[in-house]
Amino acid sequence: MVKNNLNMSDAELDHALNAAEAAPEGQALKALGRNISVRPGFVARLEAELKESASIRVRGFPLPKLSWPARRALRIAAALALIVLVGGLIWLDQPMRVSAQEVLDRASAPQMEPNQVEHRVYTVVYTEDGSTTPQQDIADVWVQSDETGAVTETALTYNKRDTDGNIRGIIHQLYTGDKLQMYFYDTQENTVIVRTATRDEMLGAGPDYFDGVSAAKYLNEIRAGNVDGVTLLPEQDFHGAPALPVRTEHKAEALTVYFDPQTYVMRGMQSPNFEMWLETEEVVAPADVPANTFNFEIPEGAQVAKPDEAPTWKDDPSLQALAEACNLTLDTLAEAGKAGQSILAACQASNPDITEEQLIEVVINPLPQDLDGKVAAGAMSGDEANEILANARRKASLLLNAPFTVENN
Amino acid sequence: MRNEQVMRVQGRMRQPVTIPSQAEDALAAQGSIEGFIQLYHEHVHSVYRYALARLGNPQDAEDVTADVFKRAWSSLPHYRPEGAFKSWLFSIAHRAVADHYRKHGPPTVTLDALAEIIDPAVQPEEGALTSEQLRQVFTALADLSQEQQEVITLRFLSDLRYEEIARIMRKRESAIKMMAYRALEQIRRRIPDGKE
Repeated sequence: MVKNNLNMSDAELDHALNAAEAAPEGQALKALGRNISVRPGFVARLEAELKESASIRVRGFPLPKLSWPARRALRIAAALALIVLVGGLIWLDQPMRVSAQEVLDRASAPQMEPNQVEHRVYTVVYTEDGSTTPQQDIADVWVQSDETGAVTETALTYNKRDTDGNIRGIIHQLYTGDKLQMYFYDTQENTVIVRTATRDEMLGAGPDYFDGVSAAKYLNEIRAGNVDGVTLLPEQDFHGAPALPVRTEHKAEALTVYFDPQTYVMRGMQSPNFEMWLETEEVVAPADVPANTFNFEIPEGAQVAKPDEAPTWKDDPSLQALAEACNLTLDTLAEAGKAGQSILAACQASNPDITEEQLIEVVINPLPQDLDGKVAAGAMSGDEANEILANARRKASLLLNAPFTVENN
Repeated sequence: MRNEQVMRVQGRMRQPVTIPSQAEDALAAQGSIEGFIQLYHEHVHSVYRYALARLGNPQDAEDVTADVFKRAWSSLPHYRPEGAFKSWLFSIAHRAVADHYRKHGPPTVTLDALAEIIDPAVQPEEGALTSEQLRQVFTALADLSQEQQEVITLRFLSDLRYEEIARIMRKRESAIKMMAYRALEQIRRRIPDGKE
């Protein structure tokens, strides 16, 4: 059962809300409504104004008696005016069209009030590499703005689940300016892995998924390089709210970002294996912001792994094997990726005789033995291993052909 | 006679006779000023209460209320009868208040000024609060976030359903309910016993 961020089902929320409405605070608000009245005379005065404006709308202008040529000239003039008026009305009746550039420019501007805290809740659906089963969870995001309305601090918390949907850990990210601290709490090992990086190191060229300004700037950068690379699609409903979808297939990676057509706040985004949308957003009075929202507390008794113990992309055996097969270093591969090359392109630039099929074999050959070991150690079920093997060739091809970006160095 | 249904009579306010939503649609569909005036009397008080609670000033609330009904009258030919005239009207009110904020900035509400708005004639059988209790409710309401104020005002002062509020605020109904629940919890903490 999907629950909201109050951890209540819809029925439980309805029940709690009914109780709150019947409680003294709800009754007090209803009584407040009964105690407010319009000032004497206002209703009658406005009624008269409305009737007056209606009479102006329907009342005609008396025409003086005119000669036939004058009447004909007047009729022609009236007909021309009518054509212009009808044309104008048809034009006005068209839906307001904005361009992709206008949407992105408006969405790139700071959207928070100065010195404000907002609490946003997103639903996130994603499919892990090696799995075909989507997982759904809630991302809890707190955002603080500075005196200009620009975001200065962001705290993001969401659960990391395994392919069976069990919570394996909790991810907590804290952005302060350009600095990002990421904590991964492994609930099974009771271990916290801490990483610190700059925003660019952690996110690469990609957008921050939970920051509409960042997403809009990302799309704007793509558009600056290729004006046709970003398109505005017709307004549509996106998870219960109207939205303007802006789509890109930059470097063969499809991404659609949805913006509110009135406020240009990002309502969510969608890619083939990831989708998230805004469920709620509210401004929170500073006194009501929970303590330590913009800090991370190490759970009691948890061990903290040193940053250098945390695995990095350089520890990925597939990348190590590919770099070796291509006679490249991992850093050279990363540089090629930054320049927009795929691993396959970088590899073939170094070794023109090597084929995609050979590189796929490099990636998937060690897998059976590796997965057998994990199943034997109880770290993975046989079904999970089989699912990874079944998708291995496709995933390897994706790894070779997709733009290669790394989280950090 | 219609005015008597909504105006105060001998110091007491009568509850308006509710027009069924289908009948509202039929009145709106007529496009006549007579039909519109009936709808106006049906909703003018709830629009005013909403505007007053959001703007905190009777003059501004009257201006916005007038603006809402003038916009509604001029937009009436575009109204699509779907049994939701009240939602449609409050969508206009929602935008009118937002426009007012844009032009004049957020309201500066003084509790003393608001206390003067309260109709002393409406008591005690209609569940009126003491002035101190009203003060507490106003304070608690003013402490809510803008969105929470919007939800609570539309629900309790203008008597809209959560489904209608969701449509007006362009959010999911469950999100609106969550917001309302949180707001009521916050108010409860401020006024532990609002109706002693």
